[in-house]
Amino acid sequence: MKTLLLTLAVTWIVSAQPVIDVPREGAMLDHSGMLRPVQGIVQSFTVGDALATGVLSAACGRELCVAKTGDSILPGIAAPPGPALISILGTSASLYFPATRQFARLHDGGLEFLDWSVDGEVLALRGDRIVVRRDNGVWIVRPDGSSLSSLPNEVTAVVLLKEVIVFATADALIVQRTESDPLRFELAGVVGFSQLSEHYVQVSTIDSSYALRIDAGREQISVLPEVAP
Amino acid sequence: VKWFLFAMLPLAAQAQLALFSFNGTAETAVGSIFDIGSVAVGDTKDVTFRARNTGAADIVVTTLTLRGAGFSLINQPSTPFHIPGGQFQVLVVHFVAGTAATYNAPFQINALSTTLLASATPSATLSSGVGCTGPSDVPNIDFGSVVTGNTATCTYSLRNLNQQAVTVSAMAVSGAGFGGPQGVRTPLTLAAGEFVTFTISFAPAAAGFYSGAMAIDARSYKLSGTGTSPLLPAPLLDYESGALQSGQQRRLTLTLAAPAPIASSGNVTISFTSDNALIQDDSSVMFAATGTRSMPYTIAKGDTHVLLNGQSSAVFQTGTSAGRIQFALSGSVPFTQAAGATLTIPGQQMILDSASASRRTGFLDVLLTGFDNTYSAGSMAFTFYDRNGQALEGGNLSADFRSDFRSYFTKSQSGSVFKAGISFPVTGDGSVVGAVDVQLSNSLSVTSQRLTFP
Repeated sequence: MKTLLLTLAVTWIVSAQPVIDVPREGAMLDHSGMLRPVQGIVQSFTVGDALATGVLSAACGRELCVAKTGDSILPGIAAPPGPALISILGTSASLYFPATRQFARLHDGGLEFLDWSVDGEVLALRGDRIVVRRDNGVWIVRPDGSSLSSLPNEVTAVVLLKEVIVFATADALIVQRTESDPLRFELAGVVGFSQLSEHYVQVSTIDSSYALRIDAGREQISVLPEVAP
Repeated sequence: VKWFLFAMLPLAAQAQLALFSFNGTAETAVGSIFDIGSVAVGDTKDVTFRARNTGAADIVVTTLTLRGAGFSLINQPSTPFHIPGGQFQVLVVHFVAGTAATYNAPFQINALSTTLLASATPSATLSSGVGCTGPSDVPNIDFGSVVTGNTATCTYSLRNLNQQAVTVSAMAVSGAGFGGPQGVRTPLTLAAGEFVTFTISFAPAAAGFYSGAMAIDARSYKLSGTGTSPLLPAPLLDYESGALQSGQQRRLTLTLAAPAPIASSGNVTISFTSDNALIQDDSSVMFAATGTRSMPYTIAKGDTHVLLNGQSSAVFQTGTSAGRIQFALSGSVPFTQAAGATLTIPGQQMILDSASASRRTGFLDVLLTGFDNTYSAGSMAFTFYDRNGQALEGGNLSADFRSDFRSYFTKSQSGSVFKAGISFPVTGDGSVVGAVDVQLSNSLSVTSQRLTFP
C-alpha cells in the first residue's frame, strides 16, 4: 500500500499545479460602519474595499459572515433595530438584539427568534451560553437563568468563542482558556469585540482596532489598519 | 510808458517767488507764520522749504536771512544766486531745542518773509530694557532677527530726568509687524524722577526687513526688525529596538533635538523600494492608524515631541518584501536638514504563519500560509511518514513550483504573503500516512516544518 501511494504521489507532483492565493482572514468593522475584508497575515494585514456600509455589528467565522445594519441582517433579513451581539457557530449564528432584548438564531437563511429571557444586561452569547451583568456580578448563564460560572466584576466587554473567553477590563485584555492560566495584554479603553475570523477577534477602542489572534499558544495582538472613510 | 514797464519788471519777478514747506512728498504754501512745532528739549528738528520760482523768468535771490536763537540754515547758499523759471531752491532749517521756551525767527528771501515758530518742551527720556537695542544717538530701535510667526517684545522705561513734571500726551506705534505700546495709557504726567515702563512688540508675518515708528509726543523713534524663516531642528526617528524584519509592526517615534522655535504641522510619509524586480511596491507597508502611506504630524512651539496623528507614536508595518522603507517629513516649517530615514529590510528565510495537513477521500492536503520576502519561493520537498514516525519508502518527494509562485506574486499586489494548497492524490489506504515534513526553500535558506495528519 505504501508503495502504491508514493508511486502515484510522485507521478502527480511532477505535473501538478498548486493552488496559490492571497490569505484571507475574515472581515473587520471599521469605525465608519464599513465591513471590510482583511487579507494577509498577522502584522502585515491589509484591508480591502467595503463589502457593506452602514453596518452596526458583524461577526465572521470560517464559513459564515453576519452583518447587522440598522434594521436588517444582510442581505436583507428583517431584524430588530440597532446593533446586535453575534456569535458564529459553523454555518449558523446566535444573535441578541439589545433594543428589544430578543434572542434569535440565524440558520438556513432565516432568523428564528428564541423564547429566551434572562435578567441583567446581556454582554455576549455563544450557543446557549449567555454573559450577563447583574447587580451581583458578571455571570455566564444558560437561557433558563441558571449560572454556569462568573467573570470578574470589572469586565467592560466580553466575547465567547470556542474554548476561549476574551474579556476586557479598564486597562487590559484577558484571554481565558479552560484549564490554563489567563493571558493578559496591556490595552486600555476596549469598547467592544467582534469575531473577525476563525482565528482572530477584532478588538475595538474608541479610535483604533486590533486583531487578537486566539489560536491556542499563538495568542498575539496587532494593530489593524484603519481605513479613513 | 517806458518807466512803467521798467518799474513793473521787478514787481513781477517778486510775485513769482513763493515759499513752500516740503514733507518729502508734497509742498504746502507758507504764510506769514510757520510753526515747526514742539521739539523735545535737547532734540533737534530739520524742516525743508522750497523757494519756488513760479514764473518763467530767472529770479536772482540777493537776500536770504534767518535770524533767531536755535534756528539755522543747513548748507546755506551764498547770495546772490539764481532760481530759473519753474525751478526751486531747497532751504533746510535746523532747529535746536535748548532751554524749554518758545522760539521764533524771521526768515526772509528777497522781499518774501515769514516768521518761524518753535517750542522746546521738556520731555521724558526713553531707555530700552530687554529684547531690543536702542534708542541710541540715532533714535533707532532694532528688534534684530525674529523668526516669522514669533513675537519679540521689548520693554522700555520712560523716565522724567527734568526738574519739573512732564506730561506725555500721546504715544503711538506704526508700521506693519509692530505693535503696542502696551502697559501705558496716555495722557500721563511724570513727576520729576518718575518713570513708567511699557512694551512694544515685533511679530513679522513673513521673512524680510520691517520698519516702523514710535512717536512719543514730539519725539519719534524709528523701529526696525528682520523677519527670518524659521527652521526646525532635524527630527530623530526611533522605530523601537530589535532587528528590522519583514512581517513586523513597529512603533515610530519622532523627537526634536531641541525645542521647536515655532509651531509646525505637516505630513510624514512612508514609501517602499523593493529589492526584487518582480514587484514594484508592497501595499502592506503602511501606517496602521491611517491605513495609508501618509500621516499628519504636529509640533507645538517649545516642544521636542512630534505628535503623529495626534498620538505620541504611530505603528507602521514593515510589509513582506525585502527592500528599503523610507520616511520623509514635509510641513509648514522646514527642518535644518532633510528630515527622514531609510530602513533596510533584509531578505530572510520563508516564514510560515500557519501550516496544516489534512486528508480527504483520495487526497492528502497540505495548506501553507506565510510569506517569502525574497520572492524566490517554490522549491519544495516533502517527506512522508507513517503513523509510527517511520519514513515511508520512496516517500521523499520534491517539486518545483517557482514559476507558479512567480506568476502569483506578479499579480497578487499584496506583498509576498501566500496561501498555498497542495494536494497529493492517493489510492488505497491513505490513513497509514501519519505526518509529512515540509521543506520550503527560497534563495537564502530552507524552512522546515513537520505536519501531522489528523
